[in-house]
Amino acid sequence: MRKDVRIGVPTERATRKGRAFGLRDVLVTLGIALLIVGVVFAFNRSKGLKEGSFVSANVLAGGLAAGPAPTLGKAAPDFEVPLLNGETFRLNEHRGHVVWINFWATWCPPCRAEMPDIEQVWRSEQGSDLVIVAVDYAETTAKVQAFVDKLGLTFPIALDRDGQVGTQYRLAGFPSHFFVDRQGILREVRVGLLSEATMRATLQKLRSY
Amino acid sequence: MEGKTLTTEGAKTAAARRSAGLARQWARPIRRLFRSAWRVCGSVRVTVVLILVLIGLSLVGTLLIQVPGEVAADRAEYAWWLQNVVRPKLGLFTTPLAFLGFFDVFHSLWFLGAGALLMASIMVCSINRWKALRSALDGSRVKLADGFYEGGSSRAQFSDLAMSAHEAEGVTRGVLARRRYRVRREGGADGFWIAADKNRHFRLGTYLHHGSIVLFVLGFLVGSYFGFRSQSFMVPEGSVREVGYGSGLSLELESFVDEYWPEGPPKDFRSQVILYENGAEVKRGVLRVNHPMSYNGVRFYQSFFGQAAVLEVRDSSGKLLFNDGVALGWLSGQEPYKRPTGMFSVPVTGLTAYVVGPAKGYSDPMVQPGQVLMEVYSGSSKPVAVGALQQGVPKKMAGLEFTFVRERQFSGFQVSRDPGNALIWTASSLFVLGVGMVFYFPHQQIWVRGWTEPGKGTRLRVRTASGRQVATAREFETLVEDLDRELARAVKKV
Amino acid sequence: MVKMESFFFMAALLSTGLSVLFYLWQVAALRWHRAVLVAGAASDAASTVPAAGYRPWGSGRFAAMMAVNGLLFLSLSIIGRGVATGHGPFSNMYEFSVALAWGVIAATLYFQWHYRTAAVSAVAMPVALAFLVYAYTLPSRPLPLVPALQQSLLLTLHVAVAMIAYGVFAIGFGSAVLYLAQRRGSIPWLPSPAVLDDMGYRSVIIGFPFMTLVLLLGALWADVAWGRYWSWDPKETSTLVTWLLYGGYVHARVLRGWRGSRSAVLLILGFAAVVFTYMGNYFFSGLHAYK
Repeated sequence: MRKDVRIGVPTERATRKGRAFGLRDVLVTLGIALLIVGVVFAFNRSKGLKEGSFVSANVLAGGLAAGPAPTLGKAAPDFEVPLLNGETFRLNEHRGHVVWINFWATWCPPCRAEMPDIEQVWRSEQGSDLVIVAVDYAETTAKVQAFVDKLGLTFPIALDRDGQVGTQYRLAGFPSHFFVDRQGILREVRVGLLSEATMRATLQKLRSY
Repeated sequence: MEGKTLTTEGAKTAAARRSAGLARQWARPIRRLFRSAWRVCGSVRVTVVLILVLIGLSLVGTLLIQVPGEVAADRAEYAWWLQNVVRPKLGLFTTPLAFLGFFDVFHSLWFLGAGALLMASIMVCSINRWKALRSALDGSRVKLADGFYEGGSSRAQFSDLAMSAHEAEGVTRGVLARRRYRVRREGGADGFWIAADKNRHFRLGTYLHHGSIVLFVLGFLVGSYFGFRSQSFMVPEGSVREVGYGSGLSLELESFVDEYWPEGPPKDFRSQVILYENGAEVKRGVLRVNHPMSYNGVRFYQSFFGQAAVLEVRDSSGKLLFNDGVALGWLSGQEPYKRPTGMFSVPVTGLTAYVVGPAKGYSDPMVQPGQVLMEVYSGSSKPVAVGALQQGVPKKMAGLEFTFVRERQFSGFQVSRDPGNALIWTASSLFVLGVGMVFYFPHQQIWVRGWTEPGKGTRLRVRTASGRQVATAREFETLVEDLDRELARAVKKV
Repeated sequence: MVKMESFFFMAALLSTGLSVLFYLWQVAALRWHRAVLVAGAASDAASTVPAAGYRPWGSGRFAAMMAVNGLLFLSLSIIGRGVATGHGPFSNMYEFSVALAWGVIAATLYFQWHYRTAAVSAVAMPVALAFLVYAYTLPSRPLPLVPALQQSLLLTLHVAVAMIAYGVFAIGFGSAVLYLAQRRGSIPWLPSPAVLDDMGYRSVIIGFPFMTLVLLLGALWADVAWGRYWSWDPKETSTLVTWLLYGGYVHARVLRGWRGSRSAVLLILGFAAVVFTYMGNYFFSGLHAYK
């Protein structure tokens, strides 16, 4: 038998003269892999790997000088702010109460929109262990007073004039809600407007701790 | 009588001849025109040019600012948009570019024209291809001239086989069958002829994916002519709004929540809604981004949100005329004080009221927080009353009593009915199917001629089609390897 | 888990870097020896033999080993991150760059294994390295997903097919570049023009259907999230242009018999469009502006 073959177009088979990736190569590869793991591990031990260069907006706003960031399940950072009625509010004085800290500003539409609902909850909770403090972020007393009068709000409004508390609490947006239980532990953080139902549900949950 | 009949008939035939002549006279240029149009459409070069034109226009549409859909629909708004948005950026180029329709490229004559021509060209090319495809499906002639078997892009020859032509044919057919070829044969005293092919039906895939492009366009057209799309359907919390477009549907928004991650980016937008058809509740549920609601082909998508004002209007006798939320869904005024603005008509009175809220994110010097500005119109472009409303404090305006009750949010939805949608997804599936068929199952054709040479043994000639396809060469290599092995085995057995 | 992920990322970066070095070293060595890299360098594929006395150490075997390691570590990194974040690599440019690099390395290895030539790998691997180095400079911390991106299955599929399509097109690019250098078959240590041409064609045969899926899955997602399957968003448009370019390549080749230089130029244009599409979010805003 004689054979005579002509392939019109060179296929990859024509080039497939080299050895394929054999078992030995696999072993060598794994060896090198281990070596690389070792090198990176050593480098990691000595220098530490970069955890990404991302700087979150709240860290940017706060920097490191603002003290520890609020963390769920840990004690809420203490602060002291003047209230609109001239008194002073200090968080740590309210152990034994559930505390709802609301950060807002008059130029923030959802903050304004939820105010009547907060008022509603506040009125229905008269005489309970609920403490509300709505901290206005860096605005003048006159401006805040005018707004509060218009809406007839009766819950405590605080003035964070230089934005220090907001920075300390690493605000990412308005409105922000921080819920602190009777032991002073931060239990819930909510960014964005809350419905009245959500407010009540969150408070109920807060009392269960 | 006879003569007369004859003349009339003669006249008739003359008229017929004349009109036939006229028809012939016209038929030729028309046919010629049709033929050259056909040729132009069927030309690959023209198709490539069309694709390049479409790419170029798409690039223009990508790099150049494009007019938003709702603005484009209104001539006056479009002119305003050109003057205030485009001219400050592009200056002198604005007018010529606008003339060319480059600010709405995807709806311009150029784009639609090139698109339509491309469709025509795809169809003509597909029809032109049918002949070749038809003969490929039928299979070529089995018995061809001996010279034919010495050609082919790839070919092989086995000679001096120590077996009969009949045995060699058996081996060849076995190999071809195992590689799932359709084998057609003829035999005779001077050997055998085989024409074999496989994957021939997969060639029809070309009609699937080219046809699906036409289907895409059809789906798009059906959608835009028989469906509707509203991009700015706004419902304030606690309000009901009619969808319109003859759907008989209305949507109530019970509550809207926008939640954010502690890091700041949005986490969830959800609207608790109830859907009514002709006033009766038909569906309720939560609408979220990525979780649309669908009823009778009408689909609701969570799209945007904003602030709303709840207002009350009473007439002089104290009768309640209006008590509803008003979505402040668009912006008015100059930077930086872009103020959310909304509109409603006061029932019975024929008055229209505009509501302007304080600018978002700034201490607005004109509209204080806890205030809205009201402008009441009655037909003419001059307001009949203008004034600021304090939250919770009733105010007399235009003989009515207006109260700004409170602020709330509204939720904005995209509502659409797109009967072309099914066509689009059918086209997509057909497209993928067609491309897969053509790309991964190339049509393979093999011809074999075998005969016994007296005193020498049997000779086999195998060849492929003449195109220089790598897939063909690749397939041929394996086939010849198989054939070689099987022939050797058969020889040994003999 | 994020810690593990960055650990594997570093290992992958190191492996890929070394792999590129080995490939370049090999190219230099081959030039020096004027040896034949693969049988098939001269015009007739069957007639060539490797140059005597030179043992091409496994057609870039070391380089391939490093590339295998790169793929391994990158896979671990992507999986680790996926487990930590609960979604595929689609939420930011870092994740997408890593995915793209994965696609390029995987395609490189497949083609090198299939064609037994390291030449194209030597062009494609630097592309993968470029994506990894670029990823290294990007913020890598996973951010929570905005609502529109909370469609894990579709988006993961969308990015997975994009990964394959773009990776394979990088090979098409590599073979086209080499083809243009090797048009007359004058470089003995490169594969023959016919083989390079075929590699380019095969890359499109594999990549084009995936590219089609990229478009369709993207459209499907847009339909679910926004209620319109196509909105002429810049990234959509440039993906479509890319797709048309490769579609044009297929048609020119099958119907017109375009081979060689002309189709190589199309491949290079196509890959330029891929890179433009990928970097697109920096040039214009739109639905894909997730930077």
